[in-house]
Amino acid sequence: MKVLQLGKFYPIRGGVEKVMHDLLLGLSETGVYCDMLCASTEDYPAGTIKVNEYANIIVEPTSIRAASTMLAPQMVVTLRKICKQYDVIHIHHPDPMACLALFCSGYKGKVVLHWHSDILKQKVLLKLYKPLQSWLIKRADLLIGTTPTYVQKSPFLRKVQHKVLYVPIGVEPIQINETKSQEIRNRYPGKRLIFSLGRLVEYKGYEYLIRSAQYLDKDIHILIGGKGPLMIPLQQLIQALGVQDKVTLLGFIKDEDLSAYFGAMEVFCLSSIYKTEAFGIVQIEAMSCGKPVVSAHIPGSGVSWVNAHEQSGIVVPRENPEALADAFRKIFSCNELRQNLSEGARSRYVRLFSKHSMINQTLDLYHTLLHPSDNNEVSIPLSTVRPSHGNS
Amino acid sequence: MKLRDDLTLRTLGQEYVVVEPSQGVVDLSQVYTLNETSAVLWKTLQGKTFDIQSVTDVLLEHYDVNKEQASQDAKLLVAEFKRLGLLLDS
Repeated sequence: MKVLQLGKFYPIRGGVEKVMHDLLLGLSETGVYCDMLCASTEDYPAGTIKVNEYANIIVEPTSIRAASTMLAPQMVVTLRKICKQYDVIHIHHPDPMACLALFCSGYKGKVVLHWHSDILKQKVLLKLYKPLQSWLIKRADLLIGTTPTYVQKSPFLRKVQHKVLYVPIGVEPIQINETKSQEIRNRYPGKRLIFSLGRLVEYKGYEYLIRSAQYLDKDIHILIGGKGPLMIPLQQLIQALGVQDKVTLLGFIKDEDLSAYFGAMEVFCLSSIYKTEAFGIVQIEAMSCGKPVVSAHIPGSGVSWVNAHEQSGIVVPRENPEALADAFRKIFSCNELRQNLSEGARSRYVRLFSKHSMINQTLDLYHTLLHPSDNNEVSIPLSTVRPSHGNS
Repeated sequence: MKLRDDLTLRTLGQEYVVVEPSQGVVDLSQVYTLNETSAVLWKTLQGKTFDIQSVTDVLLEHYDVNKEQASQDAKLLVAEFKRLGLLLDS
């Protein structure tokens, strides 16, 4: 079997690219040939990177950036040239450039469409791209979502539910270094820590998380890691509310320091308010180390499926600082609840969100797609009989 | 009898498959492939209580086939569904 992961960018930065890269590594480690064709970003040089005996990353140059997407016309030429080598092309959406490349390629094999999210904000792009997107949805032999909720609720997938399945995103468990975690706790003596992590942008809902501090006692402290355009306005909000002793913006945290924060906190919070947050990978990272998650309910998003209410954490209405504060207080004030949610978070991670399970399920899907007759077969001879008029 | 209500019919390319979503995740190691006739029956019978007679009626309604043949195929199909554990007795 030979598979091509198609779309997005290199170097790996975003969540979608991370999933593609993990699939590439995981599949190639099991002896499946798996390449990735993507566009370069941050001026990364074009070329082919040999990952191992079974995997290459083909990076095409990006020439123009327009309407939140990158145009890499060379991708069209390359895909046309190489597509025949692959049994499955696994395309990751949203990526109009990859879709255009597949459209022009003349590829006749199986297409798996991984629906990470709808195109939400770029209205002009969607208008131009919609006919191509419709073609892709129709062309795909199978659509994979990352949660059942998102793909069931997507307005673009209503008519194709018969070919939609889902494979939850999986990650390696966070390995906690207790010494480093203790160092962080020592920086906030006598405090119980809540941690949140993400770019400081509107859809993350940090305004509401910061406002929740007004309703919390002084022995609780919220740490928010990440940088972004809202750094100054959020800092000003902290000052204006007078909650400097209860909230700290940490700025960018290096990868090697992240696990210490995951270890130091007692509760993780994902305060996101818009469907742009389709899954919330940080939630499963927190769950991997048995930390209860408080998240906001976003209609149509997969976030509250990932964090199951009263199993792995607490789900509250979005844009609601008081509800966030209530959830934190509840968890901190009841040891039994905290313990139950901690165990629930860890077991939910193990059951649904391990990297191993994501790779195995994807492999099973490819196999079923390419060799359906290897499965248990239910077949009765009537298929050879002519359907009666007006019924098939 | 009834079809198991925890199973879902999907199409993969040209094929019909029944998959088993259990405990929040689709168990793709347990997949059943259906030919077109079986898939038509699955869609029609899903959520309903049925017996050999009702399966025969569905076949007669959808296909140009005589009663005896339909009844024989209905028995065959139900036996297949039973063998693979796709049925609930009720």
